[in-house]
Amino acid sequence: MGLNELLIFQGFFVAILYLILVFLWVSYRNETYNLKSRKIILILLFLSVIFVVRAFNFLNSFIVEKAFALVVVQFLVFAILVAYGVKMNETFKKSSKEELELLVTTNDKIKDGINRQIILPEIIKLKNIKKSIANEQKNLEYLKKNSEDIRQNLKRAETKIKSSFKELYKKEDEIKERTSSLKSRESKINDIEKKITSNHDAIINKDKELSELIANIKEKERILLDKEDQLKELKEDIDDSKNSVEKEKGIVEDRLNKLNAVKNELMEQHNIIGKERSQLRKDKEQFDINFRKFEHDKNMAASLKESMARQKEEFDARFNEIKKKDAELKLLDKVYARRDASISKLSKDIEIKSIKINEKDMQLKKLQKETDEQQDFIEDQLDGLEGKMKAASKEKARLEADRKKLHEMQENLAEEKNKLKMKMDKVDVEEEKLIDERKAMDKERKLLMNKEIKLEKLEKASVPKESGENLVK
Amino acid sequence: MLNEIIIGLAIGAILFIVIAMIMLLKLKFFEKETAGNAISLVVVGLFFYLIMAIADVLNYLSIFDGIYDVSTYINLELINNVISFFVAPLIIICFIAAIFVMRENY
Repeated sequence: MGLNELLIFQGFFVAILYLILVFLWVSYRNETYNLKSRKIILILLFLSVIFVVRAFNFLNSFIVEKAFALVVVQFLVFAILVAYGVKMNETFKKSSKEELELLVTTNDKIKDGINRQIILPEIIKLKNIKKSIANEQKNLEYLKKNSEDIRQNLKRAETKIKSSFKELYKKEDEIKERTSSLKSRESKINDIEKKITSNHDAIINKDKELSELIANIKEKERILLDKEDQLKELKEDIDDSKNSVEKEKGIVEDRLNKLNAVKNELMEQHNIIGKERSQLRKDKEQFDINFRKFEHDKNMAASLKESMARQKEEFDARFNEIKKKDAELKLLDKVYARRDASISKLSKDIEIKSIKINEKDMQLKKLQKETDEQQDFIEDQLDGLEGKMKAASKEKARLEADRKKLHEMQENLAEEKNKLKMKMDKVDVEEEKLIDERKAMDKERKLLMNKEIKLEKLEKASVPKESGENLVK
Repeated sequence: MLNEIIIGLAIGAILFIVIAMIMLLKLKFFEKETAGNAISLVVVGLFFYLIMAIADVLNYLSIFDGIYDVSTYINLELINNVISFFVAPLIIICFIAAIFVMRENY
């Protein structure tokens, strides 16, 4: 048996089951059902057509037609079901309303008593419970709002704390950068100071060297002056001894040329020294300018140091403030932690209250169910009572008829009793008569017995025994 | 055109099934406890029928050309087999159980 065969078999099996369901419904039509809206089943039974058509799905012909028929039947059945459901819902609502109105407004004393003694207190309890639930819900909403506000405040505070922390971190970074820049500036200033001191030392050394050079130059000038004096003396000697010296003139001229060269060199050296002097002056001026700048920088550094000190003081103050803020934040954290704890407690309380509310809801539902059941029970009982009342009235009528009959019977009985009494009196009289007769009879019997005894005696005396016995008999 | 009408009616029927389920659940509150159980059984049956109706719509979509072929995404044959083997009998069983439950002498 393949899968397709199984599918075909299953389709037919389902269709047959649905037909059995229709048969069951038709056969049990006369039975009583709990369902008020039993036509729903009747409408759903029309789906059997769909299952019967679906059983023939294995046929490959008329696919579209079959699908169309199936869909149309399906659509119609469920449309009717929806329409019937809507109608029944409205009618049930109306009937329940009317029943409730009947329950509340009646002239029947029993119903009024039930309404007053059972239903009214339950309704009042329900109303009280509803009010308490509404109040608790309001409280819950208020608590929720409060908790939301607190959470928002917490979030705001957290964001503020985070932003202040960020600002603090930024300020710390800025301060670190400033301190690092100040340190670098200090180191630069120290380097500049060192350079300036080294320059100063170099300038002093150069001054010394220059003074030495000036001293040397002065000595050389003296020497030159001495030499010039010697030359003048020599010229005088030469003039004096021109003739003798003319020979030596060339030598002296050479010497003079050499001396001129030396002089030129010295002049050049003098010029260089002058230049160096001017350079030194320039350097001195530069040094003075640098010294002034250095002093200015020093002053600036001092001012910077002072500003640094101020900034440090400010920083310390800010740091203290931050510390204070930290302490305040810690306090706020503690407060928020307490608030969190209180919120958690509140949330726990809310949860407990919600659980209690749920329990109360459940109790309410149970009470509602119980009241519904009681109402049903009361309705049933009322129906039963009405039936019973009717039966009782019928029985009453019967009893009254019976009573009348009994009265008649009693009257008849009384008459019969009287008759019986009369008869009894008669009977008594007759009995008395009978007793008298009996007594008379007894007497007669006794007399007879006596007579018999006498006769026996007489017979014994005269007649045989057998004849005597017969006589006795 | 007929194919589109069929698919439209099938989708309308699905919507009606859903509304009928909701209406039955509403009607359940007006009934007694046993009748309420019967109605809930009917609702379960309708739920299975809803599954069957959805599968039918998917089948129509794949069968009728030019609309939308779903068989590339879903194994329709398997779904059809499962429905015809298990879901269709379950619908009937639910309805039968509902009729037996709603009887007073049950």
